[in-house]
Amino acid sequence: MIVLGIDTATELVSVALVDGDEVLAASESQSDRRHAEDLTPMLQFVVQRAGIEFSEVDAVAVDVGPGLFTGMRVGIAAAQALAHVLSVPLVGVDSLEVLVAAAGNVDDHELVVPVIDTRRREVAWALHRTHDDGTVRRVAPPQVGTMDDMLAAVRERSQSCLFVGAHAISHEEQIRGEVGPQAWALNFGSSLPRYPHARHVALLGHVRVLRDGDDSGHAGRRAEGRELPDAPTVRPMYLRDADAEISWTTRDARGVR
Amino acid sequence: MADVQQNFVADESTVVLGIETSCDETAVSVVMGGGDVLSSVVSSQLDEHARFGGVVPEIASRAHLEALPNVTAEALERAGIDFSRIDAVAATVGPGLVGALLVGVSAAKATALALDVPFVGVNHLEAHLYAALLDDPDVEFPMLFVLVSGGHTMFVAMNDPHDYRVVGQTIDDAAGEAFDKVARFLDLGFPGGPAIDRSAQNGNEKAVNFPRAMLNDGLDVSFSGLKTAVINHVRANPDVSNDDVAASFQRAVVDVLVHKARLAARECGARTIALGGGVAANSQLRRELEKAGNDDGLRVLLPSREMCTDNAAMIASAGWYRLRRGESTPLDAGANPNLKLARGQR
Ligand SMILES: [Zn+2]
Repeated sequence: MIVLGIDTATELVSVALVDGDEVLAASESQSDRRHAEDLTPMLQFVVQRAGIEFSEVDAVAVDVGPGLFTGMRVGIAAAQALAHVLSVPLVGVDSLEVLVAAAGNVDDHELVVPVIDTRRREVAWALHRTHDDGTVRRVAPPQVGTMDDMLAAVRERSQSCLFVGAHAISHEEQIRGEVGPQAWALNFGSSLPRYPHARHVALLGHVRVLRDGDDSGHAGRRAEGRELPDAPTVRPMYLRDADAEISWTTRDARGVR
Repeated sequence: MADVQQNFVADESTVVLGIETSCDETAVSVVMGGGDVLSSVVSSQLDEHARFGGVVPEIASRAHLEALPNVTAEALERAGIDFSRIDAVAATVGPGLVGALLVGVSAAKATALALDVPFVGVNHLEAHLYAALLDDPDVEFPMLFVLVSGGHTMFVAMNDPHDYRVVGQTIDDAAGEAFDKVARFLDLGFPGGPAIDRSAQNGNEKAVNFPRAMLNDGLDVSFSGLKTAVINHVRANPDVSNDDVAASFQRAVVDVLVHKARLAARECGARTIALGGGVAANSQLRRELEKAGNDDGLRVLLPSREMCTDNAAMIASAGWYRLRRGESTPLDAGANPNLKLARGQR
């Protein structure tokens, strides 16, 4: 099964094609605010590189955040369109589970904490626990807050802890300082991927499609009295209300109506 | 793949999928040959913004992303086709809200790529010009186009569908913006255009003599002073009737627009005068412009309200006109929230 993975939730834009657990082609670019410009040519590139046609793609997987709102939407809009045009299943995976998947073998640590910078001085994180059988399970769902909020949640558990993600690495000193005297084994996976990557989006997506099929199970649409199947959609993980975003200055720059 | 994208030239049988997400309407349309609208679906987010008295960018972006797939499905369904019949994909690349634009642009580029058909980025303002032609393809040029909306107020002289220039514009607020601000001040609700229009029906337009700015001053217009005059008048006369103020304000806006439109039409030798943009739905403006055009021996094009306000048929049509000249847009294109009309717009 060929799965196309898309990740635009952080400043690293990436695209990957996997067949089962084999990566056929992947591409990434450090892409601050150029997600929309970079993504489509990268999609074109990986398909050419893999030597396939779009019609051979069996499913589309996309990172639904948490992350940068505009970036996330670029990838999700493209993924929704691709799944629709190709009539294939669409699945969403969250950026924090993608980071954990990228971390690979983490069984030396009791707690794994993926961290993503969502800007405006906030971070998104989740807590994962490793089990004796080698599996990693989520024990606290994705949430967003200040670094202090995140550290409080980690401290509560006082376990040996692996932080994953660029933001945790760049704030290693602060995190070590604030965990303070409890000083359990804190590990900053600096050799691990620092951003979520489409390779892992596609691999996770593959597993999920096999398990659940299509993600887009909303109520059917009605058009002129007839029930129609929904077009593929996934739900972005914003973790923040849009109401907080009101800006009267940008309102005046709006488009024509 | 995709040599077709370089050498494509549209013709009468070309089917374009148009996508519009620049502001608060999610719209998708299927248009054949630039003028045959097979479907035009518009999903408005008005209710989601109304409680804030204006369009909230983040709410708009979220709503576009959620609505676009099903609006697309419905546009195809109503056109009676599937994706395989689409020959090109057009999307608004600006001007507008950047986050909102990017949703449509990303979906459109991905769609074009997967279908192996050209993508064409469309200027939303240029698309409004083509909306007039959609309703009446046999228009006589030169045409003076009056574009009045929440974001823009301009007079555009068109010699043919590809040759146009901006001959006059607002130096401050757009007409629709003035409507919104005055409506909010009078507590009439959002959007301001229809709210003022309604209230004005019950008011006396001669009740207050608001200033007509720059009447004798070229083809540019200004609405910021008028808005301030309304606010000052109501503050000085707290008992004044809202309806009278709305009617008098609307009269002043319409007077200025119609006066300048006539002047502009004369200056560019227009044989046709056309109206577009959200404010073009204003009943008094439609009435007065039609009367003035008739008096001056001009054909007056008042597109349907559906074609005046934001829609994707005009995007597909504008895209087709570009594709017919062999133009398309590379897949590394983004959005440009401050995109201008090709010539003359400041
Ligand atoms: Zn418009």
